[in-house]
Amino acid sequence: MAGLTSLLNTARDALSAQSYGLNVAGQNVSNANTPQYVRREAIIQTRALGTQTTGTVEALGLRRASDAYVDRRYFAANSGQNAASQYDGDLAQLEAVFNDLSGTGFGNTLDALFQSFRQLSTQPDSVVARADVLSKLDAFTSRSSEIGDSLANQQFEMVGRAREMADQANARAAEIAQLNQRIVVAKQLGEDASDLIDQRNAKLLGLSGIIDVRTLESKDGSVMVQSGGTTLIEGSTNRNLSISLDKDGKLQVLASRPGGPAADITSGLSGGTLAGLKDAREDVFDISARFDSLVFDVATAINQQHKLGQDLNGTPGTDVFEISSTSTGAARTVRVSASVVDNPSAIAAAATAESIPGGSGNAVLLGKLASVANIFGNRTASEAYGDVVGMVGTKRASATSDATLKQDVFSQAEAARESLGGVSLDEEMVNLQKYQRAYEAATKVLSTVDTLLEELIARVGR
Amino acid sequence: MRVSEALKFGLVSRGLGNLQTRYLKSATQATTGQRINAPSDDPTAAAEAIRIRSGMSGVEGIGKTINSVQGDVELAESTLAQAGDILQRLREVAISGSSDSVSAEQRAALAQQATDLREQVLGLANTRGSRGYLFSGTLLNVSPIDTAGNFQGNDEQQLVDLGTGDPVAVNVSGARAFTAAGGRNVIQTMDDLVNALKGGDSTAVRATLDAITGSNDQIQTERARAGLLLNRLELSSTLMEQAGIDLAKRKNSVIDADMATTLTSLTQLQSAIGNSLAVGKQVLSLSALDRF
Repeated sequence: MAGLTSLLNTARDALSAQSYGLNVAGQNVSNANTPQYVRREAIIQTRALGTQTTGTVEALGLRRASDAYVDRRYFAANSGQNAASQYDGDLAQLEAVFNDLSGTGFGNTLDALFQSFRQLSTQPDSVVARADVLSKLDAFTSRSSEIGDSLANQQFEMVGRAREMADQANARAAEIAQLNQRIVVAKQLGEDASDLIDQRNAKLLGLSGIIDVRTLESKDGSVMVQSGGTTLIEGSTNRNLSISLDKDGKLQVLASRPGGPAADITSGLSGGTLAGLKDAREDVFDISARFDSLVFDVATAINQQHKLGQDLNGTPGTDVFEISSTSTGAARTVRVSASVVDNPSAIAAAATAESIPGGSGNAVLLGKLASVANIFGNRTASEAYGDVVGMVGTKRASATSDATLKQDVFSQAEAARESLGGVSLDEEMVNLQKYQRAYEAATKVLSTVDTLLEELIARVGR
Repeated sequence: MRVSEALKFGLVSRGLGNLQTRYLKSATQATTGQRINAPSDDPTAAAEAIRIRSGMSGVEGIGKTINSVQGDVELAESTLAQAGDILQRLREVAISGSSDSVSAEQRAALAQQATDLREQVLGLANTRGSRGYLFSGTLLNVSPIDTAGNFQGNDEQQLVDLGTGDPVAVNVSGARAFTAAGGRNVIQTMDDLVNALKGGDSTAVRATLDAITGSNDQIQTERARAGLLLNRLELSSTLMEQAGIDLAKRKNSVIDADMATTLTSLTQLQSAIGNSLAVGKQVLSLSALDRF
């Protein structure tokens, strides 16, 4: 049977346990808006002394309200979301280049070029009509180069962005490896390391935005991270990511230990900004090649027809466009030939020398190229361009819907995680009340014991 | 399910964000009047829009072509008609001059008349249109008939595309109207008549009668060609107008926004955003904080 003195001890333990609870609720409230903070729960249980029932309480420590499975799903969803939104953003940029719906795009340039030939056929000897053809030729080449340049720049910038991302991933990975080490040490010292784990989770979330991550927690508290099919972080060491281009000029992601050989993990990438960049860059690359061959085919067809005609001075037409021998890079390099630029009379409008200056046979045929299906095998120039635009639109549309879907998946994963580990202020208010009341009651116990003891001493000691 | 603070904020802000995105899209449709404002809105329609625009540009271009050549063809047609009238009068002069009973003075007067009429025909043959001489073939800056009465032009065609079939020649041939290329040298015929009248040779004058009739026929034939060409231009113009209307209809159904639908959904979204804001305020203000 316990005495008054042990009741004093019980009250003391109660005060310390309840104030621990208050402390934990206070931590939760103060971190209500801290990213990646997971709410703590105080672990309070009765103190057992051997087999004896003492009825006292002790605060054992705290527990993070987290679940490894929910966390993994959260990271994976974040990877998916970042990949999809990066891809969508890049395709939005690509789409802007091919957005003809405001009526100022390449389609109009093509139409205007063929129209200028038609107009020339009605006034083959007019300097004005000839100058108009020259300006439309120039518009064609400069618009082609603009589009070609902006596609090339976009690819270039994507490599730069991938490098930045790889640098960030490396910084995160190094921080995670370091935190692994500190957590292992803390656990060995018997500490719960919750704050460090929260920090590590924040870094892991950051890393999962850049590259797909699969986390496996070890018994010692460290976390092993696999990315792109390779082990990125193990214990206190990590591999570094680097970016290079393969022989076809496509983006390559490499992983290597410091000083070690680099392994190509590009094909294993399944999420994160890097995966989005890789996919988007391949699309830009494909569209760029298609646009190149469109420009190449149009320019070649015009060159060939032009050479069949006679210019105003009775000499056979020359190439109107200077163009590379293959379609590679044609859009960026096509120029109006030096022999034609600033030389309106060099436009070969007449089909025969006899019909100069009023002959328009060749101008008519040049204008009719607009409706000749000789691009990509069987498409007219504007149909072929429409195909490119349609292709870009289809890619962007599916990218956008995928981004929305991945966003929803992420929201769900986030909700699951929040539901488990997020701070609810209402709940903490109730907890505060709960511990406060219990603390007050424990104080009451103390004062009761005190009164009893005082009375006892007063009576007995007289 | 536990509801944390972040969850509540997330719910409200995500919901509002989605609505705002849709609202912006509807507003763009309403302000541009276009259902699709980026290729991804409807890729198939975006590709078709380019084909339609290109088609419209072609139709418009052919319309311009017709407008710019039609005037000259009309001018050529009426010029040839006048030339025909003059040849008719020349024939009357020739008939008068072919009579043996005509006095020498009368014949001299007829010769003068014939000379004047010849000058008029030469003048008509050297008519300039909007693009140059009408009857010099493709030598637009060379007057077809020089002072000596020799033809300086050629019989080359100026071709344009009328949108239907092969390119069409839109210049009226001076060579076939006035020179041996058409079968008979009209200038030579008129010279023969003037010379015969001046020489007082009624037999020689009579001999030119058939040639003058033939010359007139030759000019009328070319004039008829010009008339056919005008019909052809008219027909193409009508066809192009119709094609333009069809294309505009297609553009309307493919690209243009249906204003009633757009404005309705705009209003719906507006009230949805209002509701969402009100609900958000409620959700976020519901807290135990001020109860204790």
